[in-house]
Amino acid sequence: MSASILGIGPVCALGCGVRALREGLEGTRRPTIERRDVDIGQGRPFPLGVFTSCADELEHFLPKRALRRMDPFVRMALLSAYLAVEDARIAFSDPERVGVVLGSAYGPLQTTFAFQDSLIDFGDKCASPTHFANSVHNALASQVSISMNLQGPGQTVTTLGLSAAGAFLTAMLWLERDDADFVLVGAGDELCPVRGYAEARMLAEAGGKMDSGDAIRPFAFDECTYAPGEGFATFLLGKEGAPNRYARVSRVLMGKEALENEGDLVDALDAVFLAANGNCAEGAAYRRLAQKARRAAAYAPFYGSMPTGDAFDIAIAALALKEGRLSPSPDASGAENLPGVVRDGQAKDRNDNKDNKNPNAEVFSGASIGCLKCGEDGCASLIVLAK
Amino acid sequence: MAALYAGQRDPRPPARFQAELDKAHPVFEIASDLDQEIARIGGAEDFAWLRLDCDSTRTSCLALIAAVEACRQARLDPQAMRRMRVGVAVGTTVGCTLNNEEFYRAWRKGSYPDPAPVRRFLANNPALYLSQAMGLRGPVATLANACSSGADAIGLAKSWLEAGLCDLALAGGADELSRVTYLGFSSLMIASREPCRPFDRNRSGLNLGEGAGMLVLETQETAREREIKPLARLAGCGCGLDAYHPTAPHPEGRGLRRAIHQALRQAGIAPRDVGFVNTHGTSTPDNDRVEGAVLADIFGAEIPAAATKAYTGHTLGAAGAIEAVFTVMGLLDQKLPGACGFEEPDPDCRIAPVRTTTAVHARYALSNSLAFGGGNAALVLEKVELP
Repeated sequence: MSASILGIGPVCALGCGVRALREGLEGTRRPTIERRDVDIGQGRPFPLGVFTSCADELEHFLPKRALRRMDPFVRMALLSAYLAVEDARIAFSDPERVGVVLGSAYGPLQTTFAFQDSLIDFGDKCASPTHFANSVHNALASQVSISMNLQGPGQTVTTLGLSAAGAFLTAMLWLERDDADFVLVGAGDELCPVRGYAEARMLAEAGGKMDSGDAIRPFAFDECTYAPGEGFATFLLGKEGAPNRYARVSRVLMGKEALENEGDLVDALDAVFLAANGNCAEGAAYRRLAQKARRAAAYAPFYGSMPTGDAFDIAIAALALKEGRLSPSPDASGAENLPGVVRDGQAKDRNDNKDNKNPNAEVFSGASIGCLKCGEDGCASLIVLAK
Repeated sequence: MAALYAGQRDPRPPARFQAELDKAHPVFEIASDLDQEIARIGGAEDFAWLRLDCDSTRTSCLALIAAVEACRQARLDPQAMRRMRVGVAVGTTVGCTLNNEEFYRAWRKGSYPDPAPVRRFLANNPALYLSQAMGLRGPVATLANACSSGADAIGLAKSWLEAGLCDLALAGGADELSRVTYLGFSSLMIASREPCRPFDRNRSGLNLGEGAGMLVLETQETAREREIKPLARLAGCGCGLDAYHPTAPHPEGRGLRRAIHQALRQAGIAPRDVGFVNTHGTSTPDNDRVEGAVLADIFGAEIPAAATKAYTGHTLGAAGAIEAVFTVMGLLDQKLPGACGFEEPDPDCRIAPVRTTTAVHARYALSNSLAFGGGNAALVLEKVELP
């Protein structure tokens, strides 16, 4: 079972599209991080760095009038889907042969709470039907299918940190079974003030860094440096053998068995991208795998901490395989004793690629990268991309 | 099933929560104490090892109770299950939404609520919860495709088995009745103030319900090895997007047609082979009209049809799974329950459910699900003839 990545549409704190992502990896673009002082009732506000995304570019694809009733999360997912199709330079000839499967841990949070606002502000009799209809998790896949007229199979996966992997696995099964010729597959989550409050509270209780809330340190495995992010990364997948613009998704493992025989699994990979994002509860598993990996990197400091962040790692892995270079982890502090970690300043020793646009990136001739997401409970997912 | 065959139902105003409406919408609420039921399961010898170390939500309890019953019927040794690769796919809507009103109201008031409800939400993702509680190690997915989630989860688990991703799967759906959802459907003006009457000319909307349906799915080889006689064969599954409107079905039932044809194709049968249909039959004017027209076109207006939401209410993410169970029972019993409340046929619907318990002669049966957002799912089940 295998599928080709034909197009990528990232929307995150670095900006929109593959170019923004590449510029982030090359060090010429920085993520948008807003500092929010969240009042958690503990005397002084909790300073939370928040990685925000903007979906205004959706106006390039749809008239403003069509966007009026769309909530922010739907816009983000929709922009991501349009960018992926544009990136693939493919026009669909048969809408019934294009599927949509999206993943989200929390769904449309802002709309979920907007509906509750309508109950609180106007009473039970005057709840907002529009907010209710748009608060369902599948509102994203629904709007993507409506806007792009895609009539193939549709699913929404919401398995917290395994949502992106679940979406990819479903897409690959559809392609394998010939239920679709193409599948738009993606995952993401959005910020909202309640999420900020709850995460700040939980972070404070877990000993989060009160003085540097915006610096995610993925390799500081014992520290809580979580900084919430939002965004969506969608991919256009085609069947194995389709003209391949990036890489192949060759394997998806989910559940407890993803970490069984982890030594053999990691051994078989040329690099592992860890979705470590400053959540120290997941740190032990990431540390173990970083120690075993030939090459390891973590890119959460580009997109922020979120359960579906591994979707962005997949985008970065696809670029790495296509372009043959491995960008350094944006923050490798804490990885001093992990020789496999890709970090700033190593490239010179490892590189002789003169035309490398990113002098910090090292030449990567490997054939496979695994994108690993660990949960607190022993559940994990591994999505393997191959050249 | 005895209650269905006896035509018994008892929808009432919700007892577990209050709502300030002029007149309450009747619902199908489960009266029994689920905590006691869970304690009973945990106290039984075969499931004494269950890990119930979190504060379970009502949805999780429903899923677990149904899963345990399914495992016992399938004569599964719970300890052996932990050694096998057992996948878990669960459809839900309420179970994946952060709808804790008390927490949100407190946060809005600025009273710094404890994030315990958020932690509880994170610990109760239905598929992850089941997998954790039962100590399983195969793939895990919670699907949130609104009202087709349960059927979609069954279809997904089938594809996992076919691809060799697990040896056995627990698949279905679970949803509890929630005040927020209740008021949401009220705001959409599709919840009836009378007991629902699917496909009746004077139908005035749906009644909400709660529950869970879980199936143990395994390959023929595994069943043979375990010397188990299957209750039925899941012969085909299909899903299709309407790509039309966020809440209304496509007027011609575009996605539903695709889902049914795909399920028939996968089962390798023609429409004439289908002995009866368990309809989605929500009792809303649009839904029943579209579904009826599609069924009449594909199977003929005389196809024997059941409309079991008249007995359960609309259990949202659980509906497709509960109705798959009813379809299996219909095949085993070779009879359909009469549609309680159905009196006057609606010519626009073009089909009519059976009014009283009716004998059928069916080898194959179809179960339909139509969802908010334009998702549609169809399952074809086959009676198993063993020597």
